[in-house]
Amino acid sequence: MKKEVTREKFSSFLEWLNPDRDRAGEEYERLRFRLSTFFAQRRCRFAEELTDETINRVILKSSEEQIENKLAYCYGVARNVYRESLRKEREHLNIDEISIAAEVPEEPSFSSECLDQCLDKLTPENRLLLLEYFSEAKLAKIELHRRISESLQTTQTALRMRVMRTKQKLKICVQECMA
Amino acid sequence: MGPSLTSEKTIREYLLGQVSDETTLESIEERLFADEDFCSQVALAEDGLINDYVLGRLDEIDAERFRATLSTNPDRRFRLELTQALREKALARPAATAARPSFFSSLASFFRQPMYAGAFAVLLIAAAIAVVYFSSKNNQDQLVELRSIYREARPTETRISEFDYAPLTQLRGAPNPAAQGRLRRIENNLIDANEKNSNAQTHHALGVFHLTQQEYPEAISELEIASKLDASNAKFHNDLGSAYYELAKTSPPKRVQALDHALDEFTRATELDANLLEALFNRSLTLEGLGSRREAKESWARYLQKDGSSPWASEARKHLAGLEKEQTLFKKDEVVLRDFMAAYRDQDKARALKIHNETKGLLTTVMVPWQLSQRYLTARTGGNQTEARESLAAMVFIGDFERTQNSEFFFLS
Repeated sequence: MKKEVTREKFSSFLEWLNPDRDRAGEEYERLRFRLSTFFAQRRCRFAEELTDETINRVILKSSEEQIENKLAYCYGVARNVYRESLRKEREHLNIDEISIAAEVPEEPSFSSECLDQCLDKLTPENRLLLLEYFSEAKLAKIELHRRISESLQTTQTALRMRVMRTKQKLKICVQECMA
Repeated sequence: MGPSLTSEKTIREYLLGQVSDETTLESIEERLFADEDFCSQVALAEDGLINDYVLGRLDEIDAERFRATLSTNPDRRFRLELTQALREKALARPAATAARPSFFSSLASFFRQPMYAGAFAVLLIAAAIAVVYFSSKNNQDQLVELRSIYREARPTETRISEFDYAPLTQLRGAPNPAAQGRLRRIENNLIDANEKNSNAQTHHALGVFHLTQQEYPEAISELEIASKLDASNAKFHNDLGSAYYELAKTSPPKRVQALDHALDEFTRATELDANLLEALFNRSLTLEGLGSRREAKESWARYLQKDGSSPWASEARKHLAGLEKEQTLFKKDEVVLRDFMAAYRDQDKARALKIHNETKGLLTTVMVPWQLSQRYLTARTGGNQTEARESLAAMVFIGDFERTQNSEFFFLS
């Protein structure tokens, strides 16, 4: 009988990642990033689906067994899922049962309303930061970014990280809004 | 392999699908899962790629490679759409965009007049000279300010070129909170200078900045470039050696390798400039770190011949004294006794008492009085009256010294 990932199991999995609820959420996002990067850079056709499959397997296993090194384990499972996906792709190439892989489903077009809503939810400082960061022509960018980092009393690397984190918040918000 | 994997170039190549070698690919993946810092670096590099693509900063080849990754990476595609939408919003904001003639059309009409074209050529040459001059001056200014921040406490054990003496404190960042803002400004200016007019000086200045911030891999990367661009600059080699030396302290598995690199660079620096005190000081420090005690002692002594009075010289003397003391500690018991007896027989009181002082606190069998008492008993038992008397006399000598100089009766025979 195929085991299923239930809401309870998912909650236990988050707790397994980190007993602190907020930190668990962050670690979950980070794990997804690692896995989707792994599959995408391996040029897997359905990187997101393979990421989900890996996480589902880890969720089921973590509820049954003691796993010492979580991330190393996740990497091992990802490699297995990857190898299986390669086998499936080869099977699809059998001429007798040739199947044209479906086009990668297009993401829903970007919702401007959701973006506006989510930009409004950012702090005024972060909203201004993003709009300033992407505002000027490329030749002025170096000067602009220097000016921003100076006004925020931060280094350019720290500025890039702050822009990345703010965009990440925005992304999650927009995805939730569109769901 | 380790350092090259973490370079921004390798990470970008990985993210652009340009790493096809299975071993490298696996090394990157393993690190992605095992190392939190590396994972952050990859996330930051990917976000940078998306931003650069949207802002038109990727060249045509990289832009094409980036587009090719989108079909298998829906998450990246979504973030790209988000960034493009942000960019459109940012550009649509009210701005002073009054209609004016395009820059290129104005330029074309200007160059149609030969007189202006000639004058422009002269101006261009002057501007190029000015850029080189001012960028060099700007770097100097930034380094002067950086040095002033570390006037009270130096950030590295080694001597960085042209930094004045200050006691060592291994604090990260600025020695006081007020200097944080200044450090950020200096970093921004140095990065800008390097982006706009990259040369040996700009790489060196940026490398020195990273060195003071204890960002050693970054410092090595910049200083390596500076040393390649201007291989005859002794100070560049000295500072590169410093970065390797400091790295050695933070990375025990690579300690010896890094110290070897450091020694090579300091040696090269002293070959290029035999009077470069910073390199002489650092070379001695490195020899000591490598356990080459005799060479280190000689090197410190050579340093003190050239600099006998500065606060750096005081540190050099402490190192030298430490090595001499250490040498005694590492001697075998019989060697200590032999050296003591030789000094005693030569009536070299200072030397004999120095050996006694260096070993008396150890409270082991190396202690001279302990060894003398053993020697006395052995001689008495074996009927060697001369050696027994000599041993006893030497014990009395030590006892007298302890009683008169230290009011210590423990050693009194």
